[in-house]
Amino acid sequence: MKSFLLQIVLKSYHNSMENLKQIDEKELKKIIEHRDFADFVKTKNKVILYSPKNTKEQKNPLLDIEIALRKCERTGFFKNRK
Amino acid sequence: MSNEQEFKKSYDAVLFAASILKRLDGGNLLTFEQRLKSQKIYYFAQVFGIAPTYNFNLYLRGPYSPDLTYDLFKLKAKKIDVKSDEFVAEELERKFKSLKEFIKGKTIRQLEIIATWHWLIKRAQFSFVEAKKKIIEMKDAKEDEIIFASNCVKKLP
Repeated sequence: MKSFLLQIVLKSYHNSMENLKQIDEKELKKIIEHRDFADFVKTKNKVILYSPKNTKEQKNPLLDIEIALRKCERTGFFKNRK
Repeated sequence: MSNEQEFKKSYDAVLFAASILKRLDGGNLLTFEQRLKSQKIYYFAQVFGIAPTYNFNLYLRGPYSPDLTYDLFKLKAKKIDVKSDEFVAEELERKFKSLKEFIKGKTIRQLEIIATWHWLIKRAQFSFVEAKKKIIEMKDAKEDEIIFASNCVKKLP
């Protein structure tokens, strides 16, 4: 399975979007379950497919606060403070 | 193994993500269609800035995050009761309502096309012409579907 996935990644990287169309739904679902295998970006004027690495995470302080508050509630932090 | 180590995101971020989906009538994972719908709703929740970031790749059925699927399945396996509380921050709750309004009445196909269009234009930074070519290739999108998607994307934050 690993080698099959690697072939897909390399094929996708070197060729074009058409390769994705050759994979049927069943195969696609198998791949999706196992790993990220393709993404594409525009580099200069050429569109390529690639495996994403070091994707920058969007920072949203309000979300972080929201999650932290919920964690406090879940772990009983607020109750213990009363 | 602790909860934190089992998920792709922190345990509380996953609970939060699942909570957003629950409020939007998503997060059901039983069928392929339900998973697809959950993915698209979550994609838009990120676009509206109210959900923890998961990396979305583009697949034949539109933007898809394997990590999100992984975390939702993990959560489901633990049989955790996901809450559907409102946001504490008013700004987030306001954005949530806008998102709810945005997805209201849209079919899975429409959500798929709009999300794909958004991904192509905003993330891959395709030109209108390139994106149009790609979305026709990938999804056999019709002219009216593309116009609709393009107009919807213009309204997004």
